[in-house]
Amino acid sequence: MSDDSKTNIELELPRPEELKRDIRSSASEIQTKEDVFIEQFTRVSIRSERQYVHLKGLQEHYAHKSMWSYFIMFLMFSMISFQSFLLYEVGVGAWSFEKYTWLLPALLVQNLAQIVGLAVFVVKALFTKMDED
Amino acid sequence: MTGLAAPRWNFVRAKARELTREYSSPPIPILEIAEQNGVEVVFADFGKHASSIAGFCDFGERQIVVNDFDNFGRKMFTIAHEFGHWMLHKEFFDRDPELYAVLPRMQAPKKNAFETEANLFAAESLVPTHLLQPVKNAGAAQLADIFGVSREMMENRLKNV
Repeated sequence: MSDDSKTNIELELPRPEELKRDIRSSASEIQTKEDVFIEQFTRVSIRSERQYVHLKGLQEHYAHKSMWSYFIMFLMFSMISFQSFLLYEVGVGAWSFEKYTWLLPALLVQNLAQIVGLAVFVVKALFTKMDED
Repeated sequence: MTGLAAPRWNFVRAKARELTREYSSPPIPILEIAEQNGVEVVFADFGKHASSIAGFCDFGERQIVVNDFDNFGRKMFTIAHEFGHWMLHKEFFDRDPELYAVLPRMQAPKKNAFETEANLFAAESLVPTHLLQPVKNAGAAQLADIFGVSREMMENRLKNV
């Protein structure tokens, strides 16, 4: 049977007074160490700021893409619904385009072309290769 | 007045946010903030304790003493943690110095309200919510590197943002 108190080793921590007695650094060394830390912090800051701005920009870019995707999805859905509705109304004889026989094919072809155009745009512009972003 | 019955989550968060809200990008200059608030930060060789102690706060001398052998991220955490004690618990420890415990390197700090509050203060000040929110969908390792904190702290912050 294992003894938990032996596996979870808890060292007795020294008091701050004891630590202060054991500190080996002189005042000048302490100043140098602080300068080194500040220099390191400055270096890290410059790199981190650049990475942070890039990351933020990338996320905003994806958020915009997402917004446009939903908008185009809505647009395509509306166009397909309109086309279906139009065909249904013509099919049941509710709407007639006898005076404008050119209108129905023109509307259908134009609408279909727009849907296909949007689909091509979505694939080419919004879903390009991920490594190009 | 002796110890704290439970961590004061909202008070600690508000205190950390108050100190970091003006910063527009990471990492947070915690050393600069500590020194602006009246406590000097020094880096020292802890001698025989170098492998076991990360740092401590000397309330009398108004100093945070950090183990110089630690890496950058660990030093940042030590400063933030001890600065948390300075900002939140000074009056408790002035009355009863025995309540204060130095910060160990390897073993987890003692589980009490003081240590929990200091850890929360460190997390909230090194990784402020207003800076984490816009990039929270990125990977934890990359964010940890950008904010100058450990992967573990970043994972915890991402769960709570």
